[in-house]
Amino acid sequence: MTLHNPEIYTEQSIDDQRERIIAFTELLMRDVPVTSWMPEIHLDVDEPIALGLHHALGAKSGLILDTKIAQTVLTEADSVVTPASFTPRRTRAGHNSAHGVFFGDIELSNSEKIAVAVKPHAVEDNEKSAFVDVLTNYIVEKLGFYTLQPAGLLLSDGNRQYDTAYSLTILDEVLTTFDSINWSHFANDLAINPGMRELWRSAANQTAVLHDSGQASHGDLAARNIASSGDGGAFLIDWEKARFVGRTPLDAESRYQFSYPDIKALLESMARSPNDKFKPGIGLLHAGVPDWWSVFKDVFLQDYLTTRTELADVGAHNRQRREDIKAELEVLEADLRVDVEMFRELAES
Amino acid sequence: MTEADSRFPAQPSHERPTSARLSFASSQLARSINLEDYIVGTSAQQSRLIRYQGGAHVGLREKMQTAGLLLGQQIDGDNVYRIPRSSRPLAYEASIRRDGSFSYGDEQLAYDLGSLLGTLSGLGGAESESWLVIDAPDAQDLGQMISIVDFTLPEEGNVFLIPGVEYATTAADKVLVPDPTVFYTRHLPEFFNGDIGRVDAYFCMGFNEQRMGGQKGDFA
Repeated sequence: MTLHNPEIYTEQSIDDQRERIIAFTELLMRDVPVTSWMPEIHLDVDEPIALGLHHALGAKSGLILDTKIAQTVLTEADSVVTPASFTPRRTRAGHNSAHGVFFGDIELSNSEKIAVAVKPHAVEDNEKSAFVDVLTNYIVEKLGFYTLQPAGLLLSDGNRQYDTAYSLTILDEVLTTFDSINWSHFANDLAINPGMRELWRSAANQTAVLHDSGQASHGDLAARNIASSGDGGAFLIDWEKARFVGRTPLDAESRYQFSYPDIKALLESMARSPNDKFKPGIGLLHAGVPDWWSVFKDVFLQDYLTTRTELADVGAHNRQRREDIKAELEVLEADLRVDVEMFRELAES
Repeated sequence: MTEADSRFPAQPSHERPTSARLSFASSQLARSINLEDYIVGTSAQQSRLIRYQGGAHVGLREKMQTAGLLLGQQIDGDNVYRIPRSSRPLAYEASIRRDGSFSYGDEQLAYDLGSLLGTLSGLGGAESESWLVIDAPDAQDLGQMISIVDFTLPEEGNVFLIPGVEYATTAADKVLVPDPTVFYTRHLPEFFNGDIGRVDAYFCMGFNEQRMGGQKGDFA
């Protein structure tokens, strides 16, 4: 049964989403070559993204597929394969995406199909932006974190008519981001759904593992960038603002510079309303919640701190490391407590 | 609703329960009919299934299936359905404003929801003196019996009733509801972050179109 009321879709005079999809399809259908690519990733250098970018930029144009995906959709019997069509999917996902992400199926001339999430990079240095996005996903994967699976890129061949580059990930239909959930009842009754509580615990553990080295941060840890998988785990997505450095942290302060911005960003997204036009959040903390600090600790922070402490104890032979992490976490907790109060006052003002 | 039957076979170990975000297995209805929502298969080829203890209300279920109201496809026996992997309960859904032709915003959702429940209301047929409604103890439970399917192609539907809902379907006069739209719109604020004013007109439009159109003769 397909139920549509066309009247509902006449409210918006300019349909930016449709324009983005048309622009993508036009570039895809320009008989662009389909090639494959696997980036060089070195985690032992000071700036792995910069090095990966150095190797990647200018190397190819057209539809560039991840090598593993190319192996499944391109066979030796295929002489020249080109994209044949793009069919958009209708979804509730991606509505808070600053890039204007959209979803659909690319069909190739050999009838193979790839379901993808498409992220447009309509910035001045669009090719670099798209490569950074894809490279960070490979780095995250190589660091041992589960995240979106890179599918490739669509790049123009320098034609100024097409001033947007696109990074592609495999569309995982089971994935839902935390901003798709109505959390407004959750804070007043944390036991309302133990499965949802477990999702936050999983997100806290993932974030703690990420920060343990003192060498990595997500860079945009809003709830919209935390996803749940079909089997109940949570993982982080959209890492394009992530920071990875090869050097070992010198002290507690340098560790704090990786952990604090991430946790504060998450706190802010919990505290902002979904209807906030400036920066929509998930409204988990709202005016009806009496004790924001307790809820924030219960939902996320305590699990994060516990996992960080446990991981620090694993390296018990390194006394300095353990003491640095202890100092980092003490300052982190104190500063977040101040932030909670600030966001609560903002919400009430 | 029937009571739980401990003789109903337990889930074999190779089956994994679906995550709390997606699962339809936590409503009062689900508990009463031992409904299980689980994933089978390897990561490369997974299927998501709903299985429940059934046997009653088969006629109503067939009507729901014929009308295209039920989620998924019936397989392998009476009470096992293969359902889309992305389907999830309306109960936890955040409010989402449409931002383009291919986004499935609250207005369209409310309209489709109205159409779905409007169609259901007439399935009692001409012999019935009352409309059919879903009898749920609260909005959360009602939202657990309604599924959103995400990432759909243009010809596919987005809103369905879950298999097993026939156990919670009853005549409106039995739950003292003179008008099903009033009954349902009481619950709507729960599903749209309290902003009912934005979507209730769409719900009623969808509901009444089905009532006046497809099933009109049944209410004469």
